[in-house]
Amino acid sequence: MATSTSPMICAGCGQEMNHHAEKLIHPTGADGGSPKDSVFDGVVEEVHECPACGEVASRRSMS
Amino acid sequence: MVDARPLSIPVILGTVRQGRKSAHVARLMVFELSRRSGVTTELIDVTALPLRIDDAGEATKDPTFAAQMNGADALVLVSPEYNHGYSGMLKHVLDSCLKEYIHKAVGVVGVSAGPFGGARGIQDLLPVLRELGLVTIFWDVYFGAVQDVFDESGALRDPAYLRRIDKFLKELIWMARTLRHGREHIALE
Repeated sequence: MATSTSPMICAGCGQEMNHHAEKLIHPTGADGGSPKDSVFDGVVEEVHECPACGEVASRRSMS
Repeated sequence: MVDARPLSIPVILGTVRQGRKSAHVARLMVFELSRRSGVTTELIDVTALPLRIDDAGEATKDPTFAAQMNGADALVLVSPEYNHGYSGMLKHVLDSCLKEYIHKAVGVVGVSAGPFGGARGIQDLLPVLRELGLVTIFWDVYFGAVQDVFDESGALRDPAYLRRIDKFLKELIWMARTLRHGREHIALE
């Protein structure tokens, strides 16, 4: 199940984006110190793509 | 099926070595991709990328390269084999992005002066590509003894490579088209 409730809106064309992936990353100090998910020992990043123009965007998962 | 937007499949020339024969391979791959309808391509030469070498990972991200990866549906990596491994500069470049690659197709073209066509470097590269979120195809192209495959002008001497490239690109394009549909229309559940 996708973990964030609100869809991302494409910055390029305003379309609602499709949430198609979640990627576990291990932040370094340079990324601002995002809080880790204790289950995965890292940060889960959502990846979204716009069906209209193909723009890619990401954000940290909310849960 | 006709896509509303053409597939973007850039070719990354993954070596900075002087006198590199991989450049002939990369140009051949660009030419063969450009002959296919519904596909756009370009050559990305890692030598031309202004990436820092005093840091690593996404901290070195170049906006132009990131935009090219963002817009790509698939990648062709031309990867010479150095000391039984892949090019360190190719790894440095690939590491500069992450989200831009996820659920996109990738095919690897190996190059070597010896007989194995870069196969050992490709095998080492596959787990790296997986961790980057790329989806590898099961066809590779192996340019062994590359110094004999092209003439001095870069013209291909052995037409057998064209059939191998055709199989490779057909699979890559199928995967690129399928993954684009998934990225844009199939939600993670």
